[in-house]
Amino acid sequence: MSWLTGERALALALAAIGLLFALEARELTYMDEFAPGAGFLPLWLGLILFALVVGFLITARKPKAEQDTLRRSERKVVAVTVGLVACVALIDWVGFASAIAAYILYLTRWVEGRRWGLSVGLAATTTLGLYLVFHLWLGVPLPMGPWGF
Amino acid sequence: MEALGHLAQGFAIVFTPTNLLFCFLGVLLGQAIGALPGIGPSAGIAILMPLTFGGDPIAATIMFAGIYYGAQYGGTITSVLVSIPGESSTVMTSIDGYQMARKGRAGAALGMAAIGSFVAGTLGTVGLMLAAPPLAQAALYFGPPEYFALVVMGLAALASVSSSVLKGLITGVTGLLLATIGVDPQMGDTRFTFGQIWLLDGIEFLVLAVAVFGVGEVLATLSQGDGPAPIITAIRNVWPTRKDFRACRLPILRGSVIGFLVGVLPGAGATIASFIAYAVEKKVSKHPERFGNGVIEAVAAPEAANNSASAGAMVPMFALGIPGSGTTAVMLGALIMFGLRPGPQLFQQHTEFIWAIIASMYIGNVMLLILNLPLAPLFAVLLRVPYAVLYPVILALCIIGVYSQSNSLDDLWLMVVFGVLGYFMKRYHFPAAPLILGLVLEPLFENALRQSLALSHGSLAIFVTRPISATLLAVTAAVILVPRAMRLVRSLRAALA
Repeated sequence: MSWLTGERALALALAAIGLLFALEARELTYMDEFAPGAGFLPLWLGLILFALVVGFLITARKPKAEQDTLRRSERKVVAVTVGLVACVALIDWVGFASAIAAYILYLTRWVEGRRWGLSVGLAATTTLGLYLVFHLWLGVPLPMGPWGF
Repeated sequence: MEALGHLAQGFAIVFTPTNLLFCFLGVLLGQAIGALPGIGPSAGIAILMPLTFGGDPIAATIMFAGIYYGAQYGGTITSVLVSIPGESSTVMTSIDGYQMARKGRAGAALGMAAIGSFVAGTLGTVGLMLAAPPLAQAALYFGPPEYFALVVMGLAALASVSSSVLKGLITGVTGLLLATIGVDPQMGDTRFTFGQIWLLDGIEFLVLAVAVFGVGEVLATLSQGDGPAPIITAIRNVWPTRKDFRACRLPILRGSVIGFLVGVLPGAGATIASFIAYAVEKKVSKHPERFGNGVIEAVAAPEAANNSASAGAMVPMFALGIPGSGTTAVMLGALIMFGLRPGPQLFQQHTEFIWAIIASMYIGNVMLLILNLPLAPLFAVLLRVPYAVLYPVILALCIIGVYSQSNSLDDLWLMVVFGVLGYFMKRYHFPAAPLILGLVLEPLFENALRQSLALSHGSLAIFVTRPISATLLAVTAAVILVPRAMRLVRSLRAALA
């Protein structure tokens, strides 16, 4: 097993965020007379975050080997996330209702392999329900598609 | 007497059709959320928050509180029927509750859990009513150094009960750091926007909460597989026998007291309360060997403790503005979005708000008792809803909830990014609650720190020379260091032996 496990990679990513913020904070005022400036807290927080991750990496135990079942189910996680990205990207083009309906249809029919009737029914009723509550009742201005909804 | 007068005023506010409806909706949704896998009260409150924008903060908070304590009731159903705790706070219930279900006594287990929860929820609310006002009164004497120390203690306490203290501290500091994005509240400088105008407003709490507790939780549940859990028994005879009542009287009372006291402590919460209540019952029992084989006291005590703890957790949130758990952190964020600042001032400036919430908790617990005794079989039907049908709806709610908050697609992209982060955090056991708490408390934390250092002309000694802040920081250090030191001593002893 390589040293760079998922857990350590996540910790390192957070450490990188800490370092980035600490470096950027140097561009801001550190102390203003006796009062701390805008860069004081982020600089220290960034450094503390980095130090905490270093401490974690030093003390972390060797992780257990992951099971195959987790790897299989990860494919579903990837499929759902890719669908989510596509849905958000589509909202501007096809409108909110169409993008949400397409996403639910994709999840139930293709990712979960449910029957067409159930998938279309769930997509239609959920989208209609959300549209009625958020757009018509609460007045949220949802992005419209070329077909007017 | 003053408290009773305020409470009467609270009941007068709650007994309006709208507030009663929101109370009922809250406990009903909480019950459902607690029973359903893959969605907890934090996610439930975060997702439903956009529906309450522009509405009455009292009605909305009554609903959110109902979701919080209602979820404790709901989690019991899955614990007893399928041995899968709907909430982490019902883990202990599942041990003996499931064994009772296997013996055909699921009804009695659920019934006693509901009665124990009702008694404890009511006693916990009495505790909240009695403890919060004096604590808020004392907190009026707190200055910036004390508030700084309080936030540090809140974050450290939440981190200390995580699977790893370091992981909890890492996510807590990440939350604080993320909250510095946007415009500096004191000098007006722009920070960490990386040229993106939409980041000037910073990262909204709702976006992070929905992403981590909603999207991240869904992805994590999917990654664990979602095989159907078989329900092993029908629910009959929900009303417990006289013998059951006799056996559970004292465990319920003990669980209520333990739950409330543990709930008040920052970071501890309902899960730890239920663990302690179970351990205490086993210790005082004449037949500890029966624990784990379907003993009704082992269901009653942890259920009482987790409900009482949810009332206790509201004490520091309302009185000090320091939430003690992930769900109360989300509730705190909701209150801030409504323009209310929890803390001692809230008791003075919005008395009617506080007492309406407290009064609603008495009513909500009665509603839950009614919902749970005759209607428990109906809620068990929720367990038959396949997750494959449920999670697309949850994700759709997350998307529209985040969008409706500021009508911004940029927030949706942030939701995707933090949703993926939430998934990895869940997968690698990095706790999400300190992340949310850090984001919510950062403005208070930064203002308190900068004001303190301005008062002391830049000297950090101000935090250790004032007795209250010094005590709070000493407690924080003890919370972090004492368990580690004890582990070190134990391992040294073992090495020398």
